[in-house]
This record gives sequence, C-alpha cells and structure tokens, in this order.
Amino acid sequence: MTLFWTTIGAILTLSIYSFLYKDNPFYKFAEHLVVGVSAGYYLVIYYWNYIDPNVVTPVFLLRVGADRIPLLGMDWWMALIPGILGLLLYMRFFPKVAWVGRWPLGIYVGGYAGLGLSPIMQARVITQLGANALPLAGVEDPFAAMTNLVLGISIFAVMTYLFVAKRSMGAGNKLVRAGVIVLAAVIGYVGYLALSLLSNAGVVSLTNILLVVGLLGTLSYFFFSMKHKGLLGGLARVGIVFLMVGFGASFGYTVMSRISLLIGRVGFLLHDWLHLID
Amino acid sequence: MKLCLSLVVLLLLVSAAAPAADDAETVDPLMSDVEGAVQAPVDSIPPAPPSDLAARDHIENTDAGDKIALSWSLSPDDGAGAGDVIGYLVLRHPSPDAPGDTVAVVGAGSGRCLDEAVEPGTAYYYTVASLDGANASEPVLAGPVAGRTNLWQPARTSVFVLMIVFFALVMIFTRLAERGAALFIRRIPGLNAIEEAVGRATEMGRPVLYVPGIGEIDNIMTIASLTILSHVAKITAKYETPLIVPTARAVVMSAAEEVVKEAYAEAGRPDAYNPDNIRYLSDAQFAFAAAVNGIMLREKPAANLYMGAFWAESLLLAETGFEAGAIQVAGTAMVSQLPFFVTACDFTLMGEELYAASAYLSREPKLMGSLKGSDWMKMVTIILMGAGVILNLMGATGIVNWFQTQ
Amino acid sequence: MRRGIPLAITFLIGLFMLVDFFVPHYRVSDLAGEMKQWGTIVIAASILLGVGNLIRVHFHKIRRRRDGWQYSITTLLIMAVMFAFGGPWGTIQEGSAFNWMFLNMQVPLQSTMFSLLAFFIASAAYRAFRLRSAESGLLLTAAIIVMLGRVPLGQLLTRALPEQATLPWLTETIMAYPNMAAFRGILMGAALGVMAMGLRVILGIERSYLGGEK
Repeated sequence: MTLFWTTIGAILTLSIYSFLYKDNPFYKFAEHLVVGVSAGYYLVIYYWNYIDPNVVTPVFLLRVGADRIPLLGMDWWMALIPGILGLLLYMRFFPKVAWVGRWPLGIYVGGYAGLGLSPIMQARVITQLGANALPLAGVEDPFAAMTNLVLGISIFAVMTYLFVAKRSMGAGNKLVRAGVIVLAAVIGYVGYLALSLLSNAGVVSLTNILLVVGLLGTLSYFFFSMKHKGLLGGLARVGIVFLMVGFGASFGYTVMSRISLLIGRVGFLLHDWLHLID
Repeated sequence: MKLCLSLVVLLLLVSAAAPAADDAETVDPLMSDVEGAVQAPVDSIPPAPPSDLAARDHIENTDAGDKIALSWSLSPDDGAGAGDVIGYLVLRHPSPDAPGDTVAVVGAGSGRCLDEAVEPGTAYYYTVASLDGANASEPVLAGPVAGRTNLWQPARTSVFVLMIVFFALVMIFTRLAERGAALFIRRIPGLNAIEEAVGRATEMGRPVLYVPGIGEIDNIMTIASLTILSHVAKITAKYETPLIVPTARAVVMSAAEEVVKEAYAEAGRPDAYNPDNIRYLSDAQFAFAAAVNGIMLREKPAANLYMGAFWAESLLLAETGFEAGAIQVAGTAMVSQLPFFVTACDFTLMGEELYAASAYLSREPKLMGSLKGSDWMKMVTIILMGAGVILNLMGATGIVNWFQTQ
Repeated sequence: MRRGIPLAITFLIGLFMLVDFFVPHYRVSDLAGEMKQWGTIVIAASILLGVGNLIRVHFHKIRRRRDGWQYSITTLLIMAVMFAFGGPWGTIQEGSAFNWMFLNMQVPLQSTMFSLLAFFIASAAYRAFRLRSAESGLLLTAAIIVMLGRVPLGQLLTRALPEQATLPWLTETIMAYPNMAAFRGILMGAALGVMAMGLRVILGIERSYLGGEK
C-alpha cells in the first residue's frame, strides 16, 4: 500500500517537473488534480477546525469548545455573532439584500486595519529607528572617528556625484556607468581595508555610516510628493544603489535554499520511491 | 523470601543515606575552588539588609492587575563586604505588622522579583530580607501597593506619540488638498507601464492577467491591489480586452468580482464583464501557482500584472510569464520577493510605491493629501534618526531608550 | 445608508482595535481577541464562496467543451472524492483516506512546485547577466558575491587572501550593512504606506474593497 501511494507521489512529482520542458498533458493533469485536492481539503479543514468548534458546537450543543476560553462568561450566543457574519457573506446572491453582505467585510477589514496600525509603527518604524540611530564614529578614538567620518562622507559624495551626473557621460552608456559604480565601490573598499589596518573603532564607525547613509538614501527614494532633483535626487540615487545591492544580496542568499528544495525532491524520488540511495 | 525483601530494603536505605554522608564530609567543590575566602563561612552575624525596596504595579500588554513588580538594591554583603549573601527572601503581607506569605527566594546578585499572584485591587506590603547560610537580615518594607488593571501601557507611549503625529500630518494635508492646494506627485514608471501593457494586450487581441497576490483581504497590500485592479478594469473595459483575475482567497475573489463589475459598469460596458474570468483557484500556495502558470501558458495573456502580497510563488509566476513572452509589471511590499520581481519583470513597484498607486492613478485630492502626509512623516523619521545619531555621538542614549517599546 | 453602515462598522471596529494596542486592560484585550477570532471564522466561512466559484468556472468549461475540459472533470471529481473522504469525519486521522490523499497528492505536488524554484532562480540569475542597466549590474555583482560566499567553493577561491578580502567575509558585510540599510528603508517606507492606507480604510476614504456603489 505504501509503495502504491509513494508511486503516485513520484508520478505526480515527475509530472510537475515535465513542465520545465513544456506544458503537456501530465502537467495539466497534475495541476488540475492539486487544485481539486486542495479545494476539498480546505473545505473540510476550514469547517472542522474553525466553524465546527467555534460556531456549530457552541450554538447547537450549547457549550463552548474545550480549547476555547469563555469571554466575559461567554455564553453560547456569543458564538452566534461570527456565525451570522459568515452567513451574511452569502447575501450577495440575493440582489435585494446583497448590500448586507458587505458588513462582515467592513468588520473584518476595518478590524484588521486598526489592529495592524500601531504594531507596524512600533516594529517597522520605531524599532528600526532605534537600531539605526548609531553613533557614526567610535567615540573612544576621536582621531580615527574624524578621519573615518571624512573618508566615509567623501566616498558617498563621490558615488552620489557619479550617479547623479549620468547625463554628463551619456545616459545610453550603461557599461561606463556600471564601471564607474564598480570603481567607486572598489575605491571605498580599498579605503576600508586601509582603515581597518589603522584602528578597529574606525571599522565600526564606517559600517555605521553605511547603515545611516543607506537608510537615508532608501527613504529618500520613497518621497513621492517632491521632485527628485538636487539633494533629494542625489540621495534617492544613493538609495537606488543600496536597493540594488540589497536585492542582489538577498537573491544570492536565497539560491542555496532553493537548490536544497530540489535536492529534497530528488531524494524523495531516489530514496523513498526507488530505494536507489540510502 | 523474607530475607530477600529485607535485603532489598536494607540496600535501599543504604543507598538513600549515602549521599547524605557524602555531604557531611566534603565541601561543595564550587565553593572551595573559588579564589580567596568566598567559602560562605557560616557565621553568626546577620548580613546587611538590601535597600531601596520599591514595589510597583506591573503593567503587561494584557493586564489583569494580578502582578506586582519588586526591585531593590543589593545588600552590601552580596558579592562584596562579608560576601556571604546567598539570596533574598521576599514576603507579601496584608498589613505591615501581619506575618507574610513567601513570594519567592531570589538568588544572590539579583534585585528583582515579580509577584504573579496578587488579588487585583488589594493593598499589600512587601518585605525583603537578605539571607546568608544561617541568618536573615532585618527585612526592609515597602508598600502599600495594589495590582491594578491599567488603562494605559506607558511602554507604548512613544508609539502613540508618533501615531498622533502621523495622523495629524495625514489629516492636515488631506484637508489642504481638499481645499484645492496643488500637490505634486513624482513619476512612478511602473504605474505608467500598466497602461502600456494593457494597450499592447489589446493590440495583440490577447487577455490581461491580473494577480492580486495571495494575501488575505485584511492584508493592506491586497486592498492596495484591489484599488489598482479597479483602474486596470476600467481600461480593459474601454478596450474590451478580457481581464483574468485568479485569486487564492475566496473573500478576495468576491471583492475582486465586485470591483471589476463596478469598473465595467462605470466604463459603460457592463455586458463585457465575464464572471468566469474572476476565479478562485486554491488556498494552497503552490496549487495556486501551478494553476496560474497553466493560465499563462494556455490562455496566453499578453500582459501579466502581479500586485499585492507574494511569497515564494513570486518567481514561479514571473519566470513562467517571462518565458511566455508577456509584458510583466509587478508591485509588492514583500521585501523578500522584490529581488525576484526586479529580475524577472519589466517594471516593479517597490514597497511604498504600491501604496502610492491609488493616489497616483486617481489623482484624487484626498489620496494625494495622505501621500503628502506620509512623505512628511518620512521627514520626521529622518530627523529622528539624525537626532539619534548626533545624541548618540555625544554619549546621550535617551533617545535610543525612547525607541525601546514593549 | 447602504454604504454608510459598513463604513460606520469599519470605523468603529477599526478604532477599537487601534485603541486596544495602547490599553492593557485585560477586558479590552480579551474582546479584541474575540473579534480577531470572528475574523478567522468569517474567512473560514467564505471558503464555500471560493469553491462555488471553482465549481462554476469548471462546470462552464465542461459544458461548453472549451479546450482542456477533460481536465476540469479531474478537478471536480477529485474535489468531490476528497470532500467525501473528509467531510463527515473531519479531523485528520492517521491512515484515513483523507490523510493519505493529502500526504501523497497535495504535499508532494506542492513541494515539487516549490522546488521548481531551483531551476527558475537559475534562469532568472542568468537573465540578470544581460546587463539591462547600471543598476542591474550592481544587483548582479552583489548576488554573485553572496552566492559564492555561502558555499564551500567561495571559501576555497579566496582562501589565500587576508580575511577581509575573502568571499564569506564580504558576504557577511554586504548582508549586515548595505542590505540591512536597504531592507530597513523599504520596511519603513512601506510601513508608512500601510499606515496611511489603513487610516484611509478606517476613515472610509479607501473603500474599493467594498465593491459596487449600488
């Protein structure tokens, strides 16, 4: 029996992979199959995991599900509210009362919009600010701090200038622009290496500068109501540099984890199904 | 038989007694190895008491008023002085003179204790005494203090302040915009590209595919996506180009139906609306991806628009669409998926650009005003960051503490 | 009126949930928790809307004998089978047919789709090689460094160099600083976008999700 089911799993796996060659009946079958299976699955799961314990059991058996904590001495009738809200969704099929069908949506969307606002401000703005309000320079070594500040700012000034002044070197010449950016990055990197030989505090301050300037630039890119010219334009271009480096980095970071997924599936085929490898 | 039993009992007794005998003869190796005279000598002098005992109502995010937080400064003999303090005895008393219940014995070196079992609203007194091996110090007293169910979480005040600032900015600029102030909005190439893409699909006589992500309708990205969908539907209605909207959530499907139907009605083409093109496919992430890929290859849309919340399926969709030769415009605020859309699509709306879309497309003053308000909030955050950087450089960490919330 | 009631509901509920964050009183938190549960139940109840749409679309396809209508039969049939196996009993029992179908059809199909990404990420990377702009050059460079820095090959390649020129070190630095800065920037910008939009939803300015006016 196990072999039977494993074989089915394996055939389906191969059917999906056949998509890499081109669309074909095997893939079409597998695709339609998984859509059907998952529709049946969610129908069952949503009913038994949510509707039954929270609505049907309390309302019809007049008791609160075992895993539920009664609220305000919650009685079974409290469970009617979500039940009714759920039913209201289906009023859209009755043109005369279709408008009532929007109530549950209003509650749901409004509730979650309100629920989300403050935690977002907390986690994605304030906490990030706290993590990014860094001392730009190692306080304990003022000389290194000064030199680094100067070096860091000048590297970014050069990069900004080069990026802003794309017109002066011909907007069409991507290769030249790319070369210039790489050059600026190399200069920055060499400067960094030289610095790290001098002092350790310097390294910390330089990385802090990277964080602060990067965030400043990226945020500037997201200004919509002002023209991206002058200082804002320059900062926004620095922002694009950081965005692209960041995208590239997370792209590269994901590659290996995706390949390990493939290895997992191949392992299923060779080990679980064909028993070719241990 | 009896002999056997008694032998067993004897063995048990011996084995039980053995560790005790060991204890009497050897010194705790941890204690004896420590340098100098930190051997916790058992003397007859009680240790010095702790000081500055403070008892406060403890505020949690879900506050039932049944916790009181205690803090004190360590006894001078804890880790220094006689060095023989091994812990603190914390007692809870109904009145200063009444005998107390033990709350906890806190180990040496710690000056904190949380009493998690108080009756809300009842006043208590607390005493803390330091203990050495044999004696206890004079207890120090604090109180009365009562656990209350609070109506304010002070650890979130900074969030509240910034929320108020943000709301005020949005409201002010919305009001200004309604009064007719001219507001500028920068070009967002990805949004201009949508119209081009739909135009090309029309020329080729092929449909437009609009994927509103796999987020639930409570996800604000999905709401933003529905707004863009409404705009796209108006264009496709005008050109009579079929618009296919596959969804992964039933509620999103039903909202999309309403949005598209209304857009077709507004464009004066209610008859061109095809309910079979707004489809619920599957709640299962990759079943959904498989089915959308099928649509791309079989119904051959010439323009694929991905707007909303996407997870790992982003690249599955975008690569298939690229192979199928469609113009692709994506928009999401999912940081982890942006790299894939950027590499595989012709245009990508990044992060906030997705939310700015409704203002950009409609040019409705209210929306433009709120966009302007968000921009000013960005200015505020930049200023706060700058202040943090400068103050931090001067050694003042107050602002960084203000950013610490709970 | 018809539009007004849902907007009023949205406003009141939204405001309550907003306030809940700052008010630690347990009754407020409990009520908010209860309302969250209502939301989950509404979503669960909506599944029938979705499945109804699925059935209708495939039924139309079969009736009109559109391309690939035979596959639509598969979908409807397997859904009915799955429902019949699970519907009356519910909970996933070890060894039940429902569970077997889930484990041997849905799970392998989903994880295989997921693993297709290994191929797609490779083709996307290949595409990035065709330097479309200076920006994509940056993306590519960073991607290559990080990709190599995370595998043994990258360590081997730069083994002889000083520590701060090795690929793993560069990878770490790129991830921790420029990547982090960009990540925070997007996060903060998007957060403000979400909040502005959420506020507009609560105030009833943004209401496309409610659909038609009539």
